[in-house]
Amino acid sequence: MIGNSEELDGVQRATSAVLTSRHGTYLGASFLSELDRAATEEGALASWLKKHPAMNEFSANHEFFKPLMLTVGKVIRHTATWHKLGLSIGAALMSMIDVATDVYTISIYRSGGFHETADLMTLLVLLSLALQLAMVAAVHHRKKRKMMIEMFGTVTFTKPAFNKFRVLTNAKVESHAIMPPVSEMMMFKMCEVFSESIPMSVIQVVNVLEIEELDLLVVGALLTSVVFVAEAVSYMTYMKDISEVSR
Amino acid sequence: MPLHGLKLVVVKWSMYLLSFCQLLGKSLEMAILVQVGGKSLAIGVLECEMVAYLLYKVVRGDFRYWVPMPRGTSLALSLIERVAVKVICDFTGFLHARHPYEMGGFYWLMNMVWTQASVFGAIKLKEEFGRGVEGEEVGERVVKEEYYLTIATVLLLLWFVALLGLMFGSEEELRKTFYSMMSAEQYTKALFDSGEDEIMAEIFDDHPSYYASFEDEIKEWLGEKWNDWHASRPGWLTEELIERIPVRLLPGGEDVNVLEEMDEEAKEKLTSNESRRNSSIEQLQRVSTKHYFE
Repeated sequence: MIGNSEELDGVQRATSAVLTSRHGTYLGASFLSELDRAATEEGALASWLKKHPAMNEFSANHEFFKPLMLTVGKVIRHTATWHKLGLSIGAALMSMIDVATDVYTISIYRSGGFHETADLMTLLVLLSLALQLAMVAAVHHRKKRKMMIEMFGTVTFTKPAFNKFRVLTNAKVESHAIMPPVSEMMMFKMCEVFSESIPMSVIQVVNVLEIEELDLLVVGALLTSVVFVAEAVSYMTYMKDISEVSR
Repeated sequence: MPLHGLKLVVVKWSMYLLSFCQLLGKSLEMAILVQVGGKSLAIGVLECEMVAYLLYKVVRGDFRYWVPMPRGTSLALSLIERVAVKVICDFTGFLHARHPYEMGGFYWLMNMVWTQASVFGAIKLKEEFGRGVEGEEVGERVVKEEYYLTIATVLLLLWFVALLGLMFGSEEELRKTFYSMMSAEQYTKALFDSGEDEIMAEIFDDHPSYYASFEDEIKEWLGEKWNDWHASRPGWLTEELIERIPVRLLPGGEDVNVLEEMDEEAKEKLTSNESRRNSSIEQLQRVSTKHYFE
């Protein structure tokens, strides 16, 4: 990004004929910024053209321009970067922390003598894992070796990283797979939400309604898990909705 | 989903808010039902709602899920998927469930309205019958029963704001997806009727029963286009897509002479569950294309 000189401030009013090389740098940075904010390259381009009439004029006069920018935008948006790798590893870490906290909570309930609740929670965690394994088997059953690798990722809680990285880098659907990566990620997450996150939230709400002394930790834990579930479900819909295949 | 600007922000935050309200609302309903009639009442209510949904799907001929699974597993997967999506939607208002392949727009909307109404129904039950489980001492709770109505009303108002945000923030031409009655098969037919080859070819991602009712039209379409596609080889016509096209729909695919030209191994594969594997399909395509062009 270059400085906010008066000359550059005028870029939003300028026509394409008077733009200089410095405007080019400014406009490029502006396009990158739009790519970060918009859902897709189409959205980024529409927003960018609206913001810079000179570019809109140029786009209207030269039909090559829009496909050019869309191609550049698509490549930038889907290129594998360290940031995307970090986000993907973060997804796997979240999954591991989630299981670790579940195991910890179960042990607390068990040591407190709440065996029924602890058993129910253990069953839910195992059900979640079983459903995820069944889902992976269904998606990759046409290629046994790949299926085993994906199942190994599932039981080691590293699969969310691979799922997210494939979606962020717009990986193509593999010939043996029965659905695209975005659908696989969505269904994998659905298994967890269905069999673990939702029942856990219900158990927590039941507990909160029963407590006789205000425990901010319990209420905070409930609100946090509800926010996490809402975020997970919304993210699934968002990624599915903006994916190239779905649109 | 808008792709940029304020509407994108509005829709994203509305999605979060809707899921938040739906999850707290439904969990509150379940917790109150547990207080009134124990776990059996809460589970019983969920079961009744589930049976109503599955009946709705069966009656509309919309029970089978779109994923093309091997014979014998498709219906089992459909049952698991339908149950899972219903539960997720009940508790989170899962927006993607409005797709015709899942719950469908109309049922999705009515399901959420029902959930919000059920919270007040559960509160009414609680007022009428109090704690149904006998022999339990109830002390002074932090969340008193008179707060339930206030919590439910706040959640309902927030849910309504989120719904309005979604309706008015979403792209105008897609608003009807929030209340559409379209079934999965109707959606598949709509894809086919689009007239664009790339979109029409998407029907082969679905379970074959979705396009069974208009296979003659598909054969006619493939018959007209197969020759051109082989010459121009459009980018969307990938090997994976070709593998998914049932052999019987390809030009010459039902021709006895074509099948006779295939070796025994390929024929065996063709009639087994592995029928769409590379070797046999390539062989058939080679032979069928040759016959078709001759």
